[in-house]
Amino acid sequence: MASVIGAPAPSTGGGGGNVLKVGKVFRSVVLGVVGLFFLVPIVSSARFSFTGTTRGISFSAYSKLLSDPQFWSTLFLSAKIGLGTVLLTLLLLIPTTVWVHWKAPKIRRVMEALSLLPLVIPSVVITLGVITSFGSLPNIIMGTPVILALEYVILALPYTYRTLDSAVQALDIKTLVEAGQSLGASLRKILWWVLLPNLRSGVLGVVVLAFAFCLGEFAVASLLSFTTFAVYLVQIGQTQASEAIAFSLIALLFTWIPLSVVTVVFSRRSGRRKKGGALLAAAQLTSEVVDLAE
Amino acid sequence: MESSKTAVKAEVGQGDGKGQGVSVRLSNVKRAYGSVLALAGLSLEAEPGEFVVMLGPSGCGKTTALRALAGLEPIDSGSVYVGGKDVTRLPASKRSIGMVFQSYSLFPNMTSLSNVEFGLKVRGISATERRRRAHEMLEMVGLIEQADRYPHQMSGGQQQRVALARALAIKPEVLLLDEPLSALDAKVRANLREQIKQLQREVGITTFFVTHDQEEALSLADRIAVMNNGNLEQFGTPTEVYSAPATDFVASFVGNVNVFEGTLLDKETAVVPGVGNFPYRQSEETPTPGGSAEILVRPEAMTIRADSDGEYLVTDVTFLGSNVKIKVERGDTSFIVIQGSSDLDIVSLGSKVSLEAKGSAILVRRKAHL
Amino acid sequence: MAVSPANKTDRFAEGFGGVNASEPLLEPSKGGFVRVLRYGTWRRFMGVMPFLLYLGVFLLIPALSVVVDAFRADNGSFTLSNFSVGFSGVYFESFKNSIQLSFFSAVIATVVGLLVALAIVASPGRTLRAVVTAGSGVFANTGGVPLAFSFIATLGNFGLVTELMTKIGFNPYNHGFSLYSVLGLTVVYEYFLIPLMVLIMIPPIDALRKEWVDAASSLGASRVQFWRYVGGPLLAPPLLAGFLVLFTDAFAAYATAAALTSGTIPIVPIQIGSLISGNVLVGHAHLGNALGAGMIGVVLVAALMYGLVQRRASRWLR
Repeated sequence: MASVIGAPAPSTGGGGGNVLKVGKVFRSVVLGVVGLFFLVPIVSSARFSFTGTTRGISFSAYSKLLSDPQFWSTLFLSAKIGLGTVLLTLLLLIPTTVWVHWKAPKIRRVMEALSLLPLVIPSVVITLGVITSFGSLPNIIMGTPVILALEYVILALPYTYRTLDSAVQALDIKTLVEAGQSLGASLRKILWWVLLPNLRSGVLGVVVLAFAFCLGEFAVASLLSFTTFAVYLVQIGQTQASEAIAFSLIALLFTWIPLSVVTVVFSRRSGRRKKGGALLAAAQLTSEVVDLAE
Repeated sequence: MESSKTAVKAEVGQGDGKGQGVSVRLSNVKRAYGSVLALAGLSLEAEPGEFVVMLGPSGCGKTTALRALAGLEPIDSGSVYVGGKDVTRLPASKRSIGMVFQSYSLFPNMTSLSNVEFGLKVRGISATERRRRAHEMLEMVGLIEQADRYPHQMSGGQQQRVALARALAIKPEVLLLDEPLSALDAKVRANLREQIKQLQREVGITTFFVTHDQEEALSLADRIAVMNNGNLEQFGTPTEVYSAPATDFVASFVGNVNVFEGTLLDKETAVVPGVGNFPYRQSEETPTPGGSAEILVRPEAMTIRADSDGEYLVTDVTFLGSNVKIKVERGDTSFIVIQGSSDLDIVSLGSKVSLEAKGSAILVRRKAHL
Repeated sequence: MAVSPANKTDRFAEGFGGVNASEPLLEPSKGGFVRVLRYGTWRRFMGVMPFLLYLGVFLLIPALSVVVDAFRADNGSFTLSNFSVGFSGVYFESFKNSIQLSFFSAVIATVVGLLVALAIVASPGRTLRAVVTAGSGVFANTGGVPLAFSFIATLGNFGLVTELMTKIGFNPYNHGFSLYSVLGLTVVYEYFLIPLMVLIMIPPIDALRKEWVDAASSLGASRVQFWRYVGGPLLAPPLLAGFLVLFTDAFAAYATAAALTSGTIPIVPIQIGSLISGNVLVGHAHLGNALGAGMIGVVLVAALMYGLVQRRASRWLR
């Protein structure tokens, strides 16, 4: 016997798709032309790296670069800086984000806004400020790449903070902690055995983003006169264009692949509001930044 | 096309809102999405000023029918007539039809007043005239104080009232409401339902109201169009639909129904063993007399009697105010009886009772094959 | 938070009883923190103190030191002369170039990004959309050195596109184009600005509801009228806000321009860069900081306008 059928109302189908009625021709032309604009430089780089300005394919650009000791030393330097940055970032951000979600959820948006501040202040200006305010510090900080790692933590913050923040949000910290405590675990054990394993993907995202950032950063490194990988690329670019292009291409691919992975993983996870995930979140200067700036 | 455009303008220009009712006719309207038939040749005619409720489960085609009427949904074949005019080929903006949607249909960047003014504005009506008219409409729905509010500053019920005012502001020939109450909570819902009904009576506009809520349908409609799988199952007054359902589907979709096994004594009387005789009407589902059949009986068509030898066991008693709903079981089949509250003391949970026929069966059908 | 002295204590007690995120965290008051940040509040901020401290030392102190130093003469006294040098001659030109470059590249990216976002949202397939969104996320963060070099391979003197265009008889370099100019930079900047705009515009376009279109047309509005009165006004704020974000992004960009032009193009970040790395800074530290303060000023103006746009839109948002 059927009484009221509590059927959910049929969805009237939201979304702009039905709204726009944009013609197929228009769509194809727009996406085609813009797609070309983004593909051509990649194709050009590939061709240039194999042929230089001469005819015939060769891998000489690649082999020459790989045999350059400076290539390896600068790469190694950048990797070291990257590692330092990653460790510092995790050390700073894991406790912070966990704390915010656990003890002070009300200040979450303020913290988010603060994390976006580095997008507002140009890195050239930050460098100026570093020289002005830390110029007189002992050489162990200012004279070594340590200062780079310290500043990269800041510069990568818009990307890293949001990534970790959304990962922590996916956990129900409060319940996890309370469950752990009711089972008699200490806070340290809870952090180590419960929270961290659950934050794996968020931590991984931070590692990838921060590391990729460090490998590519040019402004601060060159202005503070450190020959990191990116700075080295520009230097050889002055004289050996095809080598520089060869490695730019590799560098691009090496950033794009992990970035795509992170984007896909996080956009799948963070759902509704944060379409495009962590990267988009970083890209969107939210209104809070401005409220702060005002 | 030209003529109807001027007709719309003329309508809007008229001062009084009375007697706008026109007849509306859907004739053999078909609409398919791929292989799914949303409307399988729907024909329906509403009298001028009539309040028609289209009732059915989700996906039955009722919303498609409404949208086809509004001109928002293309149809594959068939015709739509409003006031005798064929509007099948007219786009939505050229039909004189006011529509209220499920929710969120107010333009978020406009105040209630601007929302109500919108239809008049795009018709090129002067600012003072449309302001006057919009105020009048907001007053009618009792929201004149909210004139300067934005939609997000109002409750769902208020938003729907503004949407109603907006739809009526253009003095449409027909008013369409697509589940306008489904997103509201129960109390607001009942309130607004009354308001809509009253307003419709006052304005006298031919109205189509889509819902999946049978209670809403029964209380609002002059006539109910019960739909299922793109077909019109029955089109009749609430009383007809409730007490004389045309089909099995209507019988079980509208209201509660008990299914008894029994036999047909003759062409007028069905017998349920141990309960008694129920008069019934012939329908296409009725088997020939003599054989066994399933007899569908409303909960009100029986009385309950305390009886220690009774075959039925009381498993649930729900107090409904003036009535009591009693659930009884025999074997693994359950039945529902509705009694006046004065009989409450007859039954208690777990006691044995017997049932007695009081009214008619609503439908008699062949036994379901197992 | 305007507080009259009379009921100060009460208001503070109310305001800070629970942490109110929209209030300033550290109200500079004569009552001092200890009274303001009561025990519970204080504990709540304890956990984020390391973060705030780090941000203060490595971001705020440098930024503030630039601004403060810009107003200092060599002997440490207050002066405006750094700015009179910083906004004249070649430096004035740089600001003009920088603002022009950022403005035009942001305008182009706004238009193109909007078109792409419209095309994406209107496309039926989910795959295309996922690919473009992910791609945009990646490209929007592609900047700097690799980007510069891949454009050298494309539109440089010997680039693939230059070569192809020369073959059909139109060498862009003979028609006033150079990759190593402000015009060239405009083209290169599109590579990360357009994807950023796509990412910014997809959500608001997505949020346009079918009900609004239906309601408009049932009320007698044409498509043009729908866009004029409803769709347009709804998309304008995010479009304008997006433009300002792009402007800021382009204005601050350094690496691409530096790698592309070996630090010779007259835009502000490059000028600051050469003041720093040419060791010119030793004598001109204050000038560099004046330029930096100027940059912060321009960004603040953009941020202020962004705030105004958001405030206007917030009347009907949420």
